[in-house]
Amino acid sequence: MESKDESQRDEGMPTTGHDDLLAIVSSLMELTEKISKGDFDQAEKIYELTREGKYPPLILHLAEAFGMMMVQVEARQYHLEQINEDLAVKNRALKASIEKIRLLEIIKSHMGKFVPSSVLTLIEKNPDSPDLLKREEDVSVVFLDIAGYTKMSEQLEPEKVNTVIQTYFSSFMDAIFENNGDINETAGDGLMIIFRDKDPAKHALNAVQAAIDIQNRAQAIDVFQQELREAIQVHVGINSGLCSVGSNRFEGVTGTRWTFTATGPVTNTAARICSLTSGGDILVGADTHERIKNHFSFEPAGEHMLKNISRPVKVFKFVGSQEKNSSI
Amino acid sequence: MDMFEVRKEGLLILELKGRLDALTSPGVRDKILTFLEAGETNVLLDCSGMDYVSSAGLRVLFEAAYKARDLKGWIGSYGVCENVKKIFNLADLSSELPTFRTQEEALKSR
Repeated sequence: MESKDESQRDEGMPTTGHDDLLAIVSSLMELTEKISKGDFDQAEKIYELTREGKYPPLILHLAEAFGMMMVQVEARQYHLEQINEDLAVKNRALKASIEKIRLLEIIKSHMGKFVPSSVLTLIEKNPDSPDLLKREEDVSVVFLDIAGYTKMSEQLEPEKVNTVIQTYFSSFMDAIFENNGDINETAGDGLMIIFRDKDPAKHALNAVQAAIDIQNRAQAIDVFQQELREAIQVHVGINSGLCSVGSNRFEGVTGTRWTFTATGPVTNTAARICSLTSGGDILVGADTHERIKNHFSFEPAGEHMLKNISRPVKVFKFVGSQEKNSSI
Repeated sequence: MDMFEVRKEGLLILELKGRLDALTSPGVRDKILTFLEAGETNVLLDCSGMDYVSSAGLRVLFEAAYKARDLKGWIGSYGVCENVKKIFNLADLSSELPTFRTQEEALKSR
């Protein structure tokens, strides 16, 4: 904005007439109106009006007040822009993190196919240093195999044998997980499943219940039954007691492999009991029987000398499909 | 307004003497921005001789602080008199341009 009288600027306080004053106020109003509509280029003209000695004090104070408002508006605008930039950076980092989580979830879902769920849980609880050390723990161990696997392999084409095994094992998965079991090993026609719980009676009960559910599911499957001379049967052996539960580490020339399992006489006995079964039986050891005898019907199935076990082992056979009404 | 430059402990110290207003702020603005763009992005303003700052001067200080930040630099000030400090506080300039009591205090904070 130009002063009308150049000489007044050098002589100190200007002596602006009423009309001039009105003209300057009118200009100031016009400027502020433009700025209020977003035309910030007009800001310089406002600061020009704050020059001491060039305009009357009234104009100077008014322009100074507008100028201060302008500075604060601009400062806030800058702050907002900074916040927006920070948010954009954080948003990008967040998106990258979400993508990493998505990839980790995919990896986890793939790993879950190969790693026992108890190991996944241990790793999730403490990713930096999962507690995989072996320790004594009371568990129930279930061995399960599909009877006549060898014969079936002779009678069916390999693809069909695979289909049978997959169909059976797939149908067992839900029964195992519904009863808190953890598949530890799969080998051809067999599975080793560990049932863990703080309550020794509870994991034994879960193991037997899972075995019953598995038998029921197996009976409902009729894949390739017409081509097989004998019906497919599932044998189950269960034993409970203290095992060494944790990781096993095998070091070879080609690398190191870890497994998470339950080892010891209780596991060996469970495997041997399974080998005693015939005709789709569920056999349990004496320790398991003692824990669940009030819940299911069993009958004695004799004492047996089992391979690599020094004493005879008492075995009980599941006979009742109805759970007894009794609490642990 | 007079402006003198001194370098100390890796900082450019600019002494501002007089009034920082609509008349003087364009010159101060040009000088500070020239230093910043030349790479001297850590600047300390000695305000002990600055007795007045108007909205136009405040705007220049804000602009310098923003520019320094954009260039990953820093601008601080010290020796601000009470009148000027009131204006700084009114516009919340201290959040952009840290204010110290003395030069020693300002240098220590770096």
